[in-house]
Amino acid sequence: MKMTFWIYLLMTLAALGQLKVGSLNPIATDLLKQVGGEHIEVVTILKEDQDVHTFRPDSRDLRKMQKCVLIFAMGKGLESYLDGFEDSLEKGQAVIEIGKSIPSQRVDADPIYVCCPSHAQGAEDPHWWHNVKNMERAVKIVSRELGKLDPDNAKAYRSRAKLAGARYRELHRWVKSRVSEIPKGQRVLVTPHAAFGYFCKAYGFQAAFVQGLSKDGEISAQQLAHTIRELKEKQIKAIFPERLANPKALKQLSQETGCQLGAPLYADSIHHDYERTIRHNVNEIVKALTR
Amino acid sequence: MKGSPLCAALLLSFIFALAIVPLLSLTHREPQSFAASEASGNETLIPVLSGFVTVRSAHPYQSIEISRGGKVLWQVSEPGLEAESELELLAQDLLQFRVIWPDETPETAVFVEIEPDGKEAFSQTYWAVGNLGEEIRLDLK
Ligand SMILES: [Zn+2]
Repeated sequence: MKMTFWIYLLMTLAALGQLKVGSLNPIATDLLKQVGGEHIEVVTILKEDQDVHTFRPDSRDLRKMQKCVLIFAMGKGLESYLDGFEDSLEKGQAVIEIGKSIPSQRVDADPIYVCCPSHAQGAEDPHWWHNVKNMERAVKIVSRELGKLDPDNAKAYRSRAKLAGARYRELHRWVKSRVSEIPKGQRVLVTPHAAFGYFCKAYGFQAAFVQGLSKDGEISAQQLAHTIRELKEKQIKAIFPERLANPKALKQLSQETGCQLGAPLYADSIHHDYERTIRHNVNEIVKALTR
Repeated sequence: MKGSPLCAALLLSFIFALAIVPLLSLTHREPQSFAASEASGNETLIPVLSGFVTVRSAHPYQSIEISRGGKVLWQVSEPGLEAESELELLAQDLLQFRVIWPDETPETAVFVEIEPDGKEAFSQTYWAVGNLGEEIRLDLK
């Protein structure tokens, strides 16, 4: 009984000393936990299985965020609801768009392959985290903003950010070294959704898109024939369909072109944590393109 | 020995009261980053961009300094292999970058990276013996 009381007391005290910080994306949550550690409590509203491009916070999400002085978004237009969301905040609350401090790339894809209407050809591409080097900068941004809000712990944030930055630097090197296993002419990343522009530029891939890999909608025989012709012409070695893409169409694509069916990649969501997401994607890409 | 529930509750309330004071000051502090700098006048005289600087040396350095027109912006005088800091940058900037290594240090490489918010990073590796003095020109427009 006595023991339970003291444990309860310690936990209460620990929770009281923590700064409540909001996060609008699981990747931002991962960044915040790495930099903030035990000094902050992160309140996240987007769950790992929710679609980042269509998500809209409901009244319960908004209530959860009311307790946070600072709320971190990925930015670059990824949270398309952000303007209205900011209007709902109270005085003293603020949103930090991490992506604002990261150099931008433009979406370069035919309109049918973009993730949503707001990320059309030529628009700012929001998927900046697929270049691991950008995450190295992101931890510094998070540390700077947390330090401004909570100067007493600024030094702790800086040193945690330094460690996280070193881990990302190592991860960036690992991606480069894994990618070098793929012959140069085969570094073509075929996906259903233009989410890997930053990845392709950073690691020397050409991005390509074909129909029939996406989970939404049926593909007609005519479209399928067109895709098959395209894959053969470009001598594509592997394609990376979305989870739940039409298995019949995929089987036909792979049989008629000899393409490997790579495992689905995490374009917008996260696989346990950021590092494991990147390792999963890169391992699957290398596996399929070196087979 | 069983503690009295009343004593426990009183103790808890007391500690709660002690803890709430710093917490309130923390949550009610106006975040500084949102007081946008609305300095007017000669645009080239005011810092326009926040950024970060990182320096990594192959051999331990003795000191690092970054200055602009003789004014020191960042200084590290503790020996080490790696240092980083926030740095305010001008849209068109000319920085003096200086590193000093202890005597007897062989020719060594030093990497400097400047990351202006929202812009591509400037990064460069220099080689030097004993000390290095370089100018870094940035065009961030
Ligand atoms: Zn996306």
